[in-house]
Amino acid sequence: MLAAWVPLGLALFGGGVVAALLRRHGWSWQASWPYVLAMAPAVGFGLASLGFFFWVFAGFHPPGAWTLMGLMLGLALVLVGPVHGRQRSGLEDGSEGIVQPLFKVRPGWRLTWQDVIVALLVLVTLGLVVFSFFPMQEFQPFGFYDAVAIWNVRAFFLFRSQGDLGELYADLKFGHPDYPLLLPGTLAAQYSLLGREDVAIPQVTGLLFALSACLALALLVARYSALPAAVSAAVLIAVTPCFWRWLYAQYADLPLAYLLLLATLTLASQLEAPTRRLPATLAGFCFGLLTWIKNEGLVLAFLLAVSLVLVLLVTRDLRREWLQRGVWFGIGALPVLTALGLFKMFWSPQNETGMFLQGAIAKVLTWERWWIIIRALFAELNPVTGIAAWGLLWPFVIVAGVIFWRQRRAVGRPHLMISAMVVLAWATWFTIYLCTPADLEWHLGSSLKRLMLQLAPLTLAWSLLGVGRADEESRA
Amino acid sequence: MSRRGQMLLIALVLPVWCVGLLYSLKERSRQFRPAPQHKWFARYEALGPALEGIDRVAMVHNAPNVGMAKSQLFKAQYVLAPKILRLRNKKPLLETDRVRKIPLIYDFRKPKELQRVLAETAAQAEQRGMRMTTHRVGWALAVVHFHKD
Repeated sequence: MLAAWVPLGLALFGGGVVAALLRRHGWSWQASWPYVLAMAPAVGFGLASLGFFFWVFAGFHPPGAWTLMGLMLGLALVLVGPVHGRQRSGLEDGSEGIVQPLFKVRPGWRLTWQDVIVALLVLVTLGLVVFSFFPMQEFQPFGFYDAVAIWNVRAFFLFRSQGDLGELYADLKFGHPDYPLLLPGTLAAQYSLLGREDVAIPQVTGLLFALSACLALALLVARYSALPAAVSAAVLIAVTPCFWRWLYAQYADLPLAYLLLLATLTLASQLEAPTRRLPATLAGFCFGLLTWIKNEGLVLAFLLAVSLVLVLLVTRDLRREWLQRGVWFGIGALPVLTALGLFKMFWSPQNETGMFLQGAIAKVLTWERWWIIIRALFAELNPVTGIAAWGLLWPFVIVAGVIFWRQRRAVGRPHLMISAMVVLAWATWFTIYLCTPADLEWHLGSSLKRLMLQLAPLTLAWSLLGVGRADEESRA
Repeated sequence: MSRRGQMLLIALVLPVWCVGLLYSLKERSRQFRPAPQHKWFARYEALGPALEGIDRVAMVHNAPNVGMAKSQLFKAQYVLAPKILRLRNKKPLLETDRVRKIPLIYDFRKPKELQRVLAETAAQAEQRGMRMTTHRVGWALAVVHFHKD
């Protein structure tokens, strides 16, 4: 039971870091609490994995609890320390609360039957997800196959090391040793904090990642739409069968989807007015975490950067201010990108990109491969064949995408960036299948649903962008 | 958000939510069965104490197919690697070429064949001045230890 408090404690620490960071940039508690809640696990788990990695990379035995907490605090100071944007937000006088809260009770508000339906939907969904999770984990304490074979086994590997991981890593040949270490690192760090291994740690960590993915989705939609749309998005993703399957499985795909939402949210906010922007250091850190979880995250982070640059080029916004903000962004991303660089250069130099590029042109020009992938995709999107895995999520995304097409324009440049990202990400996943060195049918069968789940929350958020925003603004 | 907008959204969301929930509960019943994955950890863990003070370790396997053998081997490798790789000669002992003439992965569907190969391996070890002991772990894994006397 004590073990379950370790991931909760880390999330609390992460929330404290986000709260302190936003506070130092002039955000009031009323404005910052949704962001604190949604980002807490990402920042807490991220800092723990980084602290653990830097320590063992330096050739030491896994750190004790106090050493690790010291390391995390030091890394947190790198994030919280630099203050920027206070001047740009017009907060030189020290006044606070200039950032408008996302959620506030309007004067004269009354409870309506719509509110009751929404509250019931949230409570029932949350209750079912949480209460179905733990009995399931009794049978699958370390998750499904990949969670055992890749993530949990790697966490043991890190925690049981004795200052010789560099040497040991050179001899590992199986189980994707080139995958970055956010998940195994944070699990090993939690074992270090607890002083022993415990099965509750990967379980509670997985649950926190999944619930936070729903929160992050709600936050992204609430920021660019209205509250009812945000709640709808969160409850819909939380009752998707694939979401449940990979929550039980303890795979890295849900955490990846969560970090993709956070990176998109923080980066898209940079395109808004100074008083609505999130601090660039926080955007940099979330962007970095996306690269630190899985190799796919590295690809998605690159696509996010491309989307941002595309929007800046299209809107001809090439001010010098972007360079300055880039520096702050770099400071936030630096700890994570340094860890990733050290890991990839010294511990796991293998790179699978070359395998994908071999004969890529010939594969892309084989139209039969296109047809196989389109057929597999259509089977997932089709409400008849894909209902067992997705419910009616994809038909909903398509219908909402069409119905709310005009409202999306109200969002402005963040809408452009998120739309570009969604298109690029889907096109890239399609291309990866075109070029895959593995047997195409096998690769689609073993990974298509998981890759779609990585993009599902962001695509759902895109379909609801701008819904009711004009009404909300006129009321405000 | 306007009342009309809210009505439209609820009308869209409610049926999708109901169907999603129904199929999620079905998915949960489908997945709700004991799975053997985590038991492998215990099997590999049990090997740990046996590895102390040993010069070489090889693993042979009677999994139904080579793919399964490989997958079990790499999981064993991660769980045990800190211990195995720290043995005196520092050899990564799960590779065929490092433990010469003792192929790593066999397709042992018949226990008799496993016994024959183990006997041959013991003879080879003896020729090289080593003593061999074996451990069976679970249904699939046989671990062969080579001691230098």
